[in-house]
Amino acid sequence: MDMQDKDLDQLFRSKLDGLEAEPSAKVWPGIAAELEPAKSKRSLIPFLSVAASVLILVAAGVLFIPQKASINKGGVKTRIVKAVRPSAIVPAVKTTSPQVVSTVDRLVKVAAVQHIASNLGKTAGNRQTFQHADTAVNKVIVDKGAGEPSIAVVSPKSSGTIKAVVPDDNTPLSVKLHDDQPATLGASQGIATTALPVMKKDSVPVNTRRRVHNLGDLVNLVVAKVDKRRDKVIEFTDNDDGGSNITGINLGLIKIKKRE
Amino acid sequence: MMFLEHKYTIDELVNRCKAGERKFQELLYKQFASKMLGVCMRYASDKMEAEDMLQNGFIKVFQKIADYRGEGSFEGWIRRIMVHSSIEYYRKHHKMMQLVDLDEAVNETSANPLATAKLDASDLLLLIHQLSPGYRIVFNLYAIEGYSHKEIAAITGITEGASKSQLSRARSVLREQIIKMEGKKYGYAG
Repeated sequence: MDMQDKDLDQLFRSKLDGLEAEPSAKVWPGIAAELEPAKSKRSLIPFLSVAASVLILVAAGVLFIPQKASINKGGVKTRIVKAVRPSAIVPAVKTTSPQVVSTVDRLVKVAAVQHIASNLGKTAGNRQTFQHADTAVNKVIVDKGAGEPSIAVVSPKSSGTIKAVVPDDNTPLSVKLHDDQPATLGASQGIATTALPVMKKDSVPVNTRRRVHNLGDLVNLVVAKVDKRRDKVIEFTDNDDGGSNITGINLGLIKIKKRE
Repeated sequence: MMFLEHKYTIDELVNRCKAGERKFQELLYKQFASKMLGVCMRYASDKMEAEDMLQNGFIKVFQKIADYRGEGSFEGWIRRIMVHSSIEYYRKHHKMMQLVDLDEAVNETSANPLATAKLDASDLLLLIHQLSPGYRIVFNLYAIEGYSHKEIAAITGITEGASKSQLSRARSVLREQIIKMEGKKYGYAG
């Protein structure tokens, strides 16, 4: 009588199905050790995000709060126009795109010329400072009496100095580079600011109504309140896991932005 | 009942493990370790290999425990993970199904009537350990776990036909070995 397949299977099933064996003591520590790193890895990421955020906010505070005019340092192609109007918050335009830069340059030149011209026509005591690293006002010709349009010769310059030729001692014009003074324009001289849509306060896409899901959103919200630029000092984007990743950093000189 | 010795029910243990509490993971492990090592022992060629499978299996259990929705028994769920973990082990450590030794058997033995009742679990386990991994996996899945050839094909990645032929070869090897073992044990030749 041959042993049938079924019988053979049944023999093994009946004897081995309920088999039990005591594992050695090293198995559990092995399991626990494997579970450990996964857990600590998970909890470390939000912690690092907090640390990075704090660090960057502190750095941003140091950079922005004193409102130093000399942010433009050697070798970096960041051009800055600053214009303070009595009623407006200091707008800062930064761009790395050459095309936009040239527009800014032109606007600045126009602004500078008009600024100088109108200053010449005005009375004394209105102290104005204007600074632009790429523009040097070489020559200003003024027809004092007739109120004719004034001419200023402006040429691009690679160094950060601006030479201003003041035609008359009576004209209290000062065009110079200051490290510690905010650049100011007269109330009527809003060209540099108004001509640039980026600088308009209400056009900045600040989405303050977004719901705060996580720490990244909270940081975004706080940064949006303080930093009105298009590229925030730090930007977070939600990731799939419900956490958030840093997708943009803008420290003025250092600017990193992750494409969506 | 075994459960009475423990302060926690399986459901409580599972829920605390879902929360990632290490202490309860250990309790759950202690609850099922020896049963599950029994499962792994059938797939392994020795106890050391079986413990490796057990360790990998339990790591998977704790990683996936949130997916357990309480459908079916927890023991059945954990056991399926152990089986998969054991097969996975061979995928990693051996060229699993190619390990079938062609010299091994194939000659159908016309077996004598066997006093199989005299063979105990450890004898049968020894026979299983002597099978090549490919035979062992298919025989375990079909004869003991009760999977169909279609399911075995899905789990192991071999074809249904290969599963059938491996099972048939495994059976004939086992038959032959049972006869030899009976002969050694009780003094008559097969």
